[in-house]
Amino acid sequence: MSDVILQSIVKRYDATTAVDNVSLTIRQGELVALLGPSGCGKTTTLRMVGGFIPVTEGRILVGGRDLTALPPNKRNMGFGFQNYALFPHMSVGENVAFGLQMRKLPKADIAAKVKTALDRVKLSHLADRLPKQLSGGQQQRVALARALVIEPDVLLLDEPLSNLDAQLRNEMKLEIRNIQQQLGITTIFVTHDQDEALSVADRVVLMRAGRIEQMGAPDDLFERPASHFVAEFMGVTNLLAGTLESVGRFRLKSGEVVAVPVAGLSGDLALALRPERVILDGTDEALLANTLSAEVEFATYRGLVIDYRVRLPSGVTLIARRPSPAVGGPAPLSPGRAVRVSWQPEAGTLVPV
Amino acid sequence: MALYALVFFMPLGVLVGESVHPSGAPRLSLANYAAFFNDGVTFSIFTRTVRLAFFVTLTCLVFGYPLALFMRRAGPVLRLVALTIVVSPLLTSVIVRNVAWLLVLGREGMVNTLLRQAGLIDAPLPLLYNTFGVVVGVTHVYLAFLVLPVFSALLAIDTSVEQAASSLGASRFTVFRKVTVPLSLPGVIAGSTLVFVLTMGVYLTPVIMGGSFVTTLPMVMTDLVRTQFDWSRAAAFAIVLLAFIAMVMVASSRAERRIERMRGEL
Repeated sequence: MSDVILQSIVKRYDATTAVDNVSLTIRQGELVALLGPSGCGKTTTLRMVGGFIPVTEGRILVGGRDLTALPPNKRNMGFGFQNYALFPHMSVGENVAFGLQMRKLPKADIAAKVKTALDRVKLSHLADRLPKQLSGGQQQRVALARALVIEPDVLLLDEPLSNLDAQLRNEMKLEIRNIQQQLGITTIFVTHDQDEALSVADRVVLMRAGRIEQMGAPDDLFERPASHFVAEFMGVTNLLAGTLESVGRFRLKSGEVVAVPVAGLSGDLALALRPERVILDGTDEALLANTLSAEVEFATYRGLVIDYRVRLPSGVTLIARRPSPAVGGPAPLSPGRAVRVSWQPEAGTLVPV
Repeated sequence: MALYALVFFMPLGVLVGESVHPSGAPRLSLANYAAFFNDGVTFSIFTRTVRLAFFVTLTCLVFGYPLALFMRRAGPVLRLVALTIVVSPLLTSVIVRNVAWLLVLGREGMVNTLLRQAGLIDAPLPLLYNTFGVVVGVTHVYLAFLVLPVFSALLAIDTSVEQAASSLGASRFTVFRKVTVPLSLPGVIAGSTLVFVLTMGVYLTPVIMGGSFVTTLPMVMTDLVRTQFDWSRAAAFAIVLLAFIAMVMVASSRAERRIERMRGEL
């Protein structure tokens, strides 16, 4: 069993604290995404687990074994680098064989394992090529095969998809998830892309300024953000500051009072409202408890959807997203037009500021 | 372009022309070239010059490679300090530099005095006026030509490639042997070639630090010109030396190209 346990990990550089008391338990076979903006400490955390950066405080345990003081070569972890870090002077086959040679396996075993590993990523036919002769996606696959062939206890991936173009990224995302599930390997996946984290991970850990801001299943973070920061990072574009007036009644800073779900919160709050939930000129008034009049400020055509920025009389602006005519959506609204803006109370989430 | 070609090739042409007109011979003759191989002295001096260049290159590698490694890891301040130390001999007059070495390595020099005071030796060690002295003096000044290319080759190595090797189970020494050294080879070849070629033409340092006990090919040529006034033979020897150096450079650039091709960079 290779549960990975981070116990109060701290990393300090002179005056700055890059990672501040991070504790995390990753179960055997789980894929956890470390998510956050650049500089949040996610990569530093990953590199500490890999052994490339010494921890200032705290312990790292894998399967009950304390690895905190061990160098990377004694940790039996597979590390996938952002730039793949293939050995440029070795062929694809030699790259994959490297870790097995370090383990002093017999030649025949090495050849067999290299073959299996390259088959798994569908690259056996390129075993004699050099890394430079491969495309980015192929290099990524070789890196993955090289990291997995040593049968590591843990797989660590540092932004594995960030150097690929959009289509390839989707393909690789599925492939990584697939292989990870097949092998049942405990995996930590670092990314700054919320979409990537949501679609690939069993559990998402959102970091901010060296600390864990929120962790949970993808739908937890997406549907129940615990803070203003999480809501914003998860793509909620409407965050309206205000205070609770009474149970279920929220007064915006700009004066409007709207209905909100009941929440055990008080003080300065923000109403998080996804643009998809904001309805323009809705007809079913019964479902639309919150209805305000507004004016379209401008429209942004985004292919499948059109984003409208609308302004309330108090000056507050909201983004509303509607399907575009391309997918059967209503005719576009032109700027300057008066509209009614509405949303269901349950569509909003209150978060502390 | 034409001007460059003129300035570059004209002296060479003159040199070639001079070399096939031995003094006293009425017609064109390769006698001077034959003398290089057959006069019983020159060729053996040439092989000894090659040997000296080889020793200097080796010494530069032994001292320069670790220094370049250190500079790669060092912070900006230490790096600058190391760089200044390595380059400083190039900015010092060759005479000053060599006289300083005489003071350090001589019979009554610093090294011998210290060793004697420490009771480690009874008689002074022969540190000067032999190949050792010359190697020290030449290494001192040419070290920079090895360190700089190696340093820049090391800087170009992506540290994550070394980390990858480490995560795959390679110890620090294995990472060095299997990744760092092979990836720095182009710099090593470039630097070694530079040092080797420069040492083949070194003159003043062996004169001062070798006394009359270490003779290099350039010393022979100077002697031909200055005391025997045999310009023609000196020119022929110069052409042979030049041809040899050209061969070394070609071999070295072939080796570099081969490495690059092995990495799929060509």
